[in-house]
Amino acid sequence: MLKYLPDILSGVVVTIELAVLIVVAGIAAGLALALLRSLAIRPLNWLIIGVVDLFRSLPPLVVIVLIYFGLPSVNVSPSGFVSTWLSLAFVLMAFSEEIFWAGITSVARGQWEAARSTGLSFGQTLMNVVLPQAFRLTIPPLTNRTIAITKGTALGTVVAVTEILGQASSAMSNSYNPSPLMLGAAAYIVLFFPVVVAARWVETKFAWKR
Amino acid sequence: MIQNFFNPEIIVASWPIVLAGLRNTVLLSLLVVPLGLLGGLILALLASVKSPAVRWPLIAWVDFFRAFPPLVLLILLFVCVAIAFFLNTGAYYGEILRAGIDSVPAGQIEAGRSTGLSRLQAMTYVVLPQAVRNVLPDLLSNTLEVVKLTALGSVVAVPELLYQARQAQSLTYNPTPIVVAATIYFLLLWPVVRLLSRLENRALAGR
Repeated sequence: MLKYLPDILSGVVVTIELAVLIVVAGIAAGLALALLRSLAIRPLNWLIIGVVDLFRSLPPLVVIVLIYFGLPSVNVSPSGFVSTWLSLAFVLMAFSEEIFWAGITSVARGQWEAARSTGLSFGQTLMNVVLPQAFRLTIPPLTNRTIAITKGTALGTVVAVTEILGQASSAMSNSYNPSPLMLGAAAYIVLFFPVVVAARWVETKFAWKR
Repeated sequence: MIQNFFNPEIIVASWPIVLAGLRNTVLLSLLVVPLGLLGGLILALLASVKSPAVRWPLIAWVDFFRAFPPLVLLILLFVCVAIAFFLNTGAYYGEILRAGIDSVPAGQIEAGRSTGLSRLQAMTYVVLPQAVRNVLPDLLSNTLEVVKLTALGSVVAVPELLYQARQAQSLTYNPTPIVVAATIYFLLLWPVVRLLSRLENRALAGR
């Protein structure tokens, strides 16, 4: 079992890389879409809602398979890593857009009007008045969703990404023994348990005192 | 483009295969959602017991399955797909229902008890109906996730929608069946997503 520890560890590195890329790209894109949506340009909003609904209703694995096995027939061949990254980033984008948007709309209209009437521009109002209030509301759903989607990195196995589960499965077939899988499972626990605990802490830290 | 992704002949040819997959996806969802809800309800009810001997193992259990990618569970348990899903979704449903039960003020249960209801009766007739209503969007959203989760079954060769579509894809050397499957997923789940968006926005705006 220990023989396969280095493999699992290299898998851990790939999982972390993948997770960080997904979280950064997904949340940035989600925030960007939510901000675009707050400009209230009708056709653009329909487009955003359409994209968001699409990625909320498709299982992430379907998106990964579609990109990895589908795109090569139009002569674009993304690697497994890139397919997984793109797919999960799109999914996280959709969910975080929805969450940020809900946060933005939850800030009372009067806040906008008050800020604008004191002479702040649209951008300043958004940045200094609305978003700070919106973020507090968005943190619990956002942390939950982010954890759920980063766990999806395990789906990369299906398209041959050498992340934890991929390494553990191939070690299992090499050794005819499921102990590497146990090692992989332990690696996930070690990796994600602190994240779950940290998320709980952040949630209580930023919660509105009621 | 059309030849590759929306090839009509392949759509017709692969339709029965994909349809069989759809049936299994629906069956699996119908199995896992009630099981998960029931398990979650039991977890949530146990969590409302104040004794630390019950509470701590419970928190550990819920956090464990929240921190664990369901795909790992699936391969570990391999044959017991439904059990893997149940363990995972049960933990989520449990967490949601617990939040719902917590959101009902303690006065409600005290009032219920003082009118002569037993603990269980107060829970079933007074607390739970209010709790479920408070967390309805979350319950619905988790159910949506569960249906999407069934796609993972394809990895361990459960012949559900995605698996069947991939079979059809390798038979035809053409990604059209996967596009068909994606379209079916979208048509199946889009109404739920729309409903959810409305419920969620209303819940947040109502604060």
